[in-house]
Amino acid sequence: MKVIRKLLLGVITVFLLTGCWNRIEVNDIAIVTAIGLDLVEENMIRLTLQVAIPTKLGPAGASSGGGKDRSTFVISEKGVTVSEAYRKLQMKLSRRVFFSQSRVLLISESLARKGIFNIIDFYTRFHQPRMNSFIMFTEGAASEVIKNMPNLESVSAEETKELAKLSVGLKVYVRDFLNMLLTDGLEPYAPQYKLTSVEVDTENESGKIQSINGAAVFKKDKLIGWMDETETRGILWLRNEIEGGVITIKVPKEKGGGNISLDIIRSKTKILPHHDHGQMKITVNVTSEMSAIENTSKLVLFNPKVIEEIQKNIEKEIKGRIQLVVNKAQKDFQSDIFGFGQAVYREYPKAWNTFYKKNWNHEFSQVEVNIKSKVYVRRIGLSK
Amino acid sequence: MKTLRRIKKLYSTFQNQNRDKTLEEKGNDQLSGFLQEDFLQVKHYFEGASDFKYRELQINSTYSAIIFYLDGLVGIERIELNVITPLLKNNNAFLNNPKPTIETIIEELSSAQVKQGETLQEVINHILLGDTVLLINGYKQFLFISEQAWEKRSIEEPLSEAVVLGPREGFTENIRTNTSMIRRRLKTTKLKFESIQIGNLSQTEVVITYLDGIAQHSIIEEVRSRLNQINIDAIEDSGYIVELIEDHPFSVFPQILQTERPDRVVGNLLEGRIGIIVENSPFALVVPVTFFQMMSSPEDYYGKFIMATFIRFIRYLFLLVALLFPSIYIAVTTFHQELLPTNLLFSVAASREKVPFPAVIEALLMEITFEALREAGLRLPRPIGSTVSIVGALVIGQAAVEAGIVSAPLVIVVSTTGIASFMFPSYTLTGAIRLLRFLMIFLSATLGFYGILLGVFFILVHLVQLRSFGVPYLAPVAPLNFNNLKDVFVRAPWWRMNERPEQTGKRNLRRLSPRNRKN
Repeated sequence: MKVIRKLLLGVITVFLLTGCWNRIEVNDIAIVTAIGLDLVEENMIRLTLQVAIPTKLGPAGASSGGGKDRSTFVISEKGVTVSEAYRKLQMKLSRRVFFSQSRVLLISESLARKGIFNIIDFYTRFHQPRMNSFIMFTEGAASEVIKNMPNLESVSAEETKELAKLSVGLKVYVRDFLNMLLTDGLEPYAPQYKLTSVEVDTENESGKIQSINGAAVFKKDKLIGWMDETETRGILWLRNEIEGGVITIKVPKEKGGGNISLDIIRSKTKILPHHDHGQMKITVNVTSEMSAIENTSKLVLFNPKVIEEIQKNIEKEIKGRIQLVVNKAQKDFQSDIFGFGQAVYREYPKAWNTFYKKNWNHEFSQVEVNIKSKVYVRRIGLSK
Repeated sequence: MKTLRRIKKLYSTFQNQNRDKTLEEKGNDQLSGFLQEDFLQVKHYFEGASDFKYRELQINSTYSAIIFYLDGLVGIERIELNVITPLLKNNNAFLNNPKPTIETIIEELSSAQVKQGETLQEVINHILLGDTVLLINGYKQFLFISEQAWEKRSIEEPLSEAVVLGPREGFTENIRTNTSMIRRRLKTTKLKFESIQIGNLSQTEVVITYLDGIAQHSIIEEVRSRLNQINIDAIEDSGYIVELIEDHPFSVFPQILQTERPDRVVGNLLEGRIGIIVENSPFALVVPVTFFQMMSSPEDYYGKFIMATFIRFIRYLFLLVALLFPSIYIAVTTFHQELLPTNLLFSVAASREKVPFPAVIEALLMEITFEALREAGLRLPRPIGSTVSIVGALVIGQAAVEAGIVSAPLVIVVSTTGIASFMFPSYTLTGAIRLLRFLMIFLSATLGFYGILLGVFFILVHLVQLRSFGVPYLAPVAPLNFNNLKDVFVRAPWWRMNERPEQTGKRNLRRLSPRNRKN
């Protein structure tokens, strides 16, 4: 009897110690693949969800038809807060909304300009959404962009996710965004998401495809401007996040003309602040290694002297790219998306705490940035 | 009429009891020496036994004698040649001496084993054992000739523990064959075979075997006393003994190794364990054993150690699969959908879309069907067995999925689990895992991963407190012994495994001279 009583106690405890009961079958959940947020009626938030339709997503053959059937549908509802819109939306869905599989969060420009702290708060406070979703911003309404059809994957949100993972453009998770938001001396940025035509400059424009290029620049939690594709590359260089890419330099006419394209093997960027006569100066050291992949000039890459010259040219090119973004961030946006402030804090914590922390907004646009670029061409390929 | 019959029945049982009593009472009685009287006595006990045979002989036409035997247990040709012929032919012993001593008669018989006895009980017992008993008029002693010969199965490959590398012979039902197979592998006087009889009616011979100087006395003594405590009418198989001497009979885990392989028994004897061989059972028992021994196959020791280590890892991995795969599937699909990669979740969701049952019911349905198929496959005669597997594969696999009763991923889960459960070298351990699988399914269906964790936790607690003849069941992992870990998850090369397991072989640890290989 004693043993049974002890066992019973154990079993009861096991059941009482659990948290909430959340047993739900997989065919009773509405799998959300992408979330879109817009501003409507001045201060209402419209929550748009892309929900997967499992019957259309089964293995080939099992699902009837397939092909051009929509594998997802879009549903939306509005509310003062995200969670209000979510509760309202749930009333229209026969299955329980399940955010945990969604890896794409799209926010429209109009909403972002008003500040998105409440969205980030919902996203991190509520247990369902994933912190490692990709956060992206759209110029138009997010609810429109979210409707696009997939070309390669079964669901368009999967394509978005894969595209973001490639890190050709920027790659920002919600948790990165939150970190940038909460860190002193660093302002958030996030990629821009838009639809462009599949084929370029042809007669039959066969539809739209997603692309992630450009960047949204923030000041605190408010969007203040966009950067285009080349400028975004500059951010990547500065943020030490460049992972491959091609740089093309022009060979001047007097040397025969033509272009040389080089592939980036690896690159390292260091931001070094230094105090100089009461003046804060920032040195950016960029060291990169490249290999030539295309040569349409008459230069013989076999010659070390030629290589040296090419290296100098690329150094100038990189320097120019970085200078461009730095200028834009300092002059146009006055937003420290590169984390110069962070670097200052790490190097001179006392000075930062006493002076720069309060005045960084102002100081940032005044700070002198010195860009030093070093390039090594490692490989020139098989042909001379 | 009814009452009359009842009275008759009562009377006959009373008589039977009376007869038994008389045997027991008379058990120690000496033979009378008068042939007719003794003959009638013996014949009386074997009344109604049609296999009881006797033959009267006249030795030199002066002495009458009778031989008794049970037909089918005795090599009658050899009795004719070695006993009847020498007695019937002009017999030197009787020619020269009107009343020769019993010893001289023994000398006349050319059989290898001739012995003498005196009591009626002995006569009966020897006849039952398959000896041939010779009574001679005027002698108070009787002779018994051991010329047992009965039909027996030849040595075959063990069915339940087949290997690719290594010896192919397995134990048979004949205990002498079995002991000889062990003796052939250990040609030393240190190998002991202690014989005892168990079973009031069956008088089954049970042999305790061990290597003197390696096995621990305390364990041998424990085995002896546990076997001696058994008081049962009959032992039909070694399985009876397992249940009667196990430390924790209510545990699902086997604490005694049942094996058909003589090489496995010998391997265990060398590690200081004790074997129990039971008459009429092709399964020998080995005690004490640990969980990890159940997980190691004799083949691990015959192939290359690298391969054996790899196979062991696979085996432990699939131990988890066999125990947990269905429950993990249920937990993931009903509690933790966020754990699956999105595309996998899509296909799981798509295949579950038409299924009317919750995942638990689905899994139970399939698991129970699988168990039924397995049992049916065992019972059915071989030609029909293949039919069952075809029908089963069709029913479980294709039709059920197409009809939308179960989902395709679950079929994969159940069949993987099914394959996994055939991987263990111990049949009894397989049973334990299969049973616990259902427990885990229930736990995961109610509590998700939390339930799985709890289940595994409880199983581990249970395993840790199990003992097999005093040896911890999870040794050498708990309690930890680094040196003995060489033969648990990995199989170290022989030249590195130079010591016996500490728990059983501590009397004589060294196995291998360290100079066997210099590196």
